[in-house]
Amino acid sequence: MEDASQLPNTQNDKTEEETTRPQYTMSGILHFIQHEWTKNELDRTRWEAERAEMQARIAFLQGERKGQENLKQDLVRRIKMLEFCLKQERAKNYRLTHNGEEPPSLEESPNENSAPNDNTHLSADLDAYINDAGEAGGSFRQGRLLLKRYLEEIGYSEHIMDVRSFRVKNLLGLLPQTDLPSSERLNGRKEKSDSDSDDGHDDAALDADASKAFEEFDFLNSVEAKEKGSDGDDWAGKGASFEKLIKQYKEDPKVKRRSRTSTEESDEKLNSDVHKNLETDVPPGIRSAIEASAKEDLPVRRQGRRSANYAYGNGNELDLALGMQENENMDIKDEFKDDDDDPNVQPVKWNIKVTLRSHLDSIHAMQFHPVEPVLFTASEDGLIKLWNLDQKKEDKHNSGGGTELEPVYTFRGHKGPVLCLVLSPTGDHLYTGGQDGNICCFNVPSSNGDPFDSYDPRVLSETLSGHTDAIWSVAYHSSNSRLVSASSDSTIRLWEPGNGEPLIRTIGAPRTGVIPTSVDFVSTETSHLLAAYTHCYAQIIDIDTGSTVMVFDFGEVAGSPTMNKIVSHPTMPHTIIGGEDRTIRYFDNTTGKITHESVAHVEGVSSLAIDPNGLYLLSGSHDGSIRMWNIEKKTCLQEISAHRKKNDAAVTSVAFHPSRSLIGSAGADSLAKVYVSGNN
Amino acid sequence: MTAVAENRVVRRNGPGTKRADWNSWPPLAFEEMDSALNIQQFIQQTIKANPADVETILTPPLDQDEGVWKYEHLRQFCIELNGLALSLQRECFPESCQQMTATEQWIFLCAAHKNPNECPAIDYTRHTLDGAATLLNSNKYFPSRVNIKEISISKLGSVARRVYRIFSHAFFHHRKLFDEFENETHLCKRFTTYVSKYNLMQQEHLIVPILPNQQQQQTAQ
Repeated sequence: MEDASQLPNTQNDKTEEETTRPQYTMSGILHFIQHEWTKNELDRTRWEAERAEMQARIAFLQGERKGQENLKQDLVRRIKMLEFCLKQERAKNYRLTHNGEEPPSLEESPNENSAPNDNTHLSADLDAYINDAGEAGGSFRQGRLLLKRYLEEIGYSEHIMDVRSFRVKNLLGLLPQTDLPSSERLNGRKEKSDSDSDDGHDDAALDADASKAFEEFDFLNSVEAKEKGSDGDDWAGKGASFEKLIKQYKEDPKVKRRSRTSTEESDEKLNSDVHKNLETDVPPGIRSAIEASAKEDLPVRRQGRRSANYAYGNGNELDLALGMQENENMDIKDEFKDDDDDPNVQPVKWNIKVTLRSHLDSIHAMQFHPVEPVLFTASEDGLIKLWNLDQKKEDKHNSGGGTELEPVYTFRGHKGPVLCLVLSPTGDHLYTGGQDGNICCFNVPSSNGDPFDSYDPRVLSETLSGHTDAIWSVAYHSSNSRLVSASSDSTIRLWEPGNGEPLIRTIGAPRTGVIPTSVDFVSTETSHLLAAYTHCYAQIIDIDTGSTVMVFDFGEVAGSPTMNKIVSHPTMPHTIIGGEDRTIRYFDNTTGKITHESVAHVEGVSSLAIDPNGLYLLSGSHDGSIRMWNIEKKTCLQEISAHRKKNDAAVTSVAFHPSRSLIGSAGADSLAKVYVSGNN
Repeated sequence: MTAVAENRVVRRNGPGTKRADWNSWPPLAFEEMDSALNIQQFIQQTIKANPADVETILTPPLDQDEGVWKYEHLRQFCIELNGLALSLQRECFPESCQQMTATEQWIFLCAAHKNPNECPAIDYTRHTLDGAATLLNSNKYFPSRVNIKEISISKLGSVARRVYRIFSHAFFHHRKLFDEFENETHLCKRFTTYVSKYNLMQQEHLIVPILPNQQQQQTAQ
């Protein structure tokens, strides 16, 4: 504020000051001070600007320095890798030349020692490869060449690049050698030595550059020692650049040829060390039949390796890169054979084919037609729908969009939710059970009919009433056309539809409060019925007499969970039960004992289905997923997340098509889905 | 709530559930329904609590997207109308009800066919409900039940208009059946309130005198 008020004054005083210079007036002094102050202020801002500039420059330089350091560290790492590689090559070489004896101490020599070693051999390497005794030296040389390749990879020297292109031309002349059958490979080494001596002058030029480089790296080596601690972590981060190296390395015919040599156990040890360093999977080493493989043609073997690659991913790549594919090849070949022998290891994958949208509320049951690509679904919205999966017709409600499958027929017969359904073996009759306690017997109309045809009351041929509560499961006895139903009125009833008095027998619960949940006929003993109940109970009932044949022994189970679904193995006297306790249990019908049990899902298992050959089990759970199991091995082959939750319910039903490669799932989200196997 | 914490309530009707125990789990606050189908859950929960309390059933939760709310209600109407259709199936025959009529004023043509067809009442009912289920599940108009496009909302009106005719046919031609159904479900009352509240149908088309003001109107006439 002071400045501002005095500003007009100083303006006026300016001329005055010039005329009366020698005199020091108060205003003159003030003016002078002010003048100086502004000048200083100006300077200060200029300095500040300068300082900012300098700081920016410092930051820039620091960044540059950091970049250089990173590069340096990168190089150090590459050297480490190379050293490792070198050591292995040396060991391999040693074994080759010493009839498979273990190399004396090369492995143990720490990095600090081996690096100077490289240097000492540098000058002598030209002689080193000539005689057999000097083979170890020859591998040094190769290693050095390798290093050069890495250097040029990171653009270390243009000189080296030029030399390299020259070398590549030379190498191209040698390419056919790479396809030598393996029996000649050992000799190949000698030929290679010869050819190398041809372009010896070239190597000499290279050596000059290289030795310079090595000197520098020698110094870096000491830095590396300090940073060793963090190296392990860094490897992972450097994966990308490493892979690039690998790729180039792989493409180098020379490397390939060199690496195709037979190996020993110790190699595998080293091998696994490398894997550990690189944080990749270590494939199990199997040492076998090296000679046998050596007689095989190379292309065949390569193919095998390639197809087996999926199993090992990066690990295998690394092996290739580090010149160890020979023994790896062996391992993988064996594993690959395994795969071939057992089709279950590489099972068909199921992919979604179509989502069926038409129900308005949770679907509770689904079943495929025995022959046709036709599906039936029963829902809480009170409807049963018939779907023709082959139907390709464009729907008029859906003009413009792709085809959308619509149900061909809608069955109405139940008041309230429909909970279960079963088809006769011919697919002509459909029996459904509902929450209303009735069983509806439908004559199945044509699967190619018009969904908007007029109503034919004959479709609903009969309604079986008798149950006093919801019906949760129905099963059809194929040989005498009888029907079994399980209801939450605690009874299981046997019916004969079409008979004047359809109800034949009522089978009560084993004890009060226990409710049957699921029924199925035993495939190997047609008069026997499997029944699962709430409270962790299940039994085999003789349907002709109504008496219990066998009670399944669950052992100790906490909380007596409901058994949601019981299915019979199609060819063997086995029974599989899925429970609310997330567990699938396998029983032997002859002993009633559990043969296998495992927690199969995250939440309760709601549904099971077995493929017609009895090889695969499909399970659905309220965790929203369906899982495909190998019944023999009890292993999960595939998981598909299929349905969304409504309340705590998700997947409610799963099904196998009895004769086609189709599976289905239905859920509380009102949707049904059909899947086809991957090779369709 | 402590009971819930100690022993997790599983909200599903597993095999063996008795009819009386259907959906009989403790009600869940709307905010705690974390599934994608929470609106349907919520609507069914309030209906289960008291089907006669139409106002509460039609009161959306706070900040609820109106489109989804209307859509899920219409879905629910179609589900419950299947019950009425089933009853009609037992006593509405093409011989007695050759055309879909309510009063003598209109004959309704069935829109399920390429060329609107003069279907018998029972076919009209079935076709209309099946068509509504298809439309409400159409990937084109209702690909999601969480997010509904504005343009698809307009479809709700025509669905509502068509399914309403099932009420009116039952009311004017199968009165006993209609009354039984209505006493149990209060569905026509809820439907009339719903379409009035969201303006999905014109008042003059709501010919079933089910709401008090409609009944007054009728007596006045």
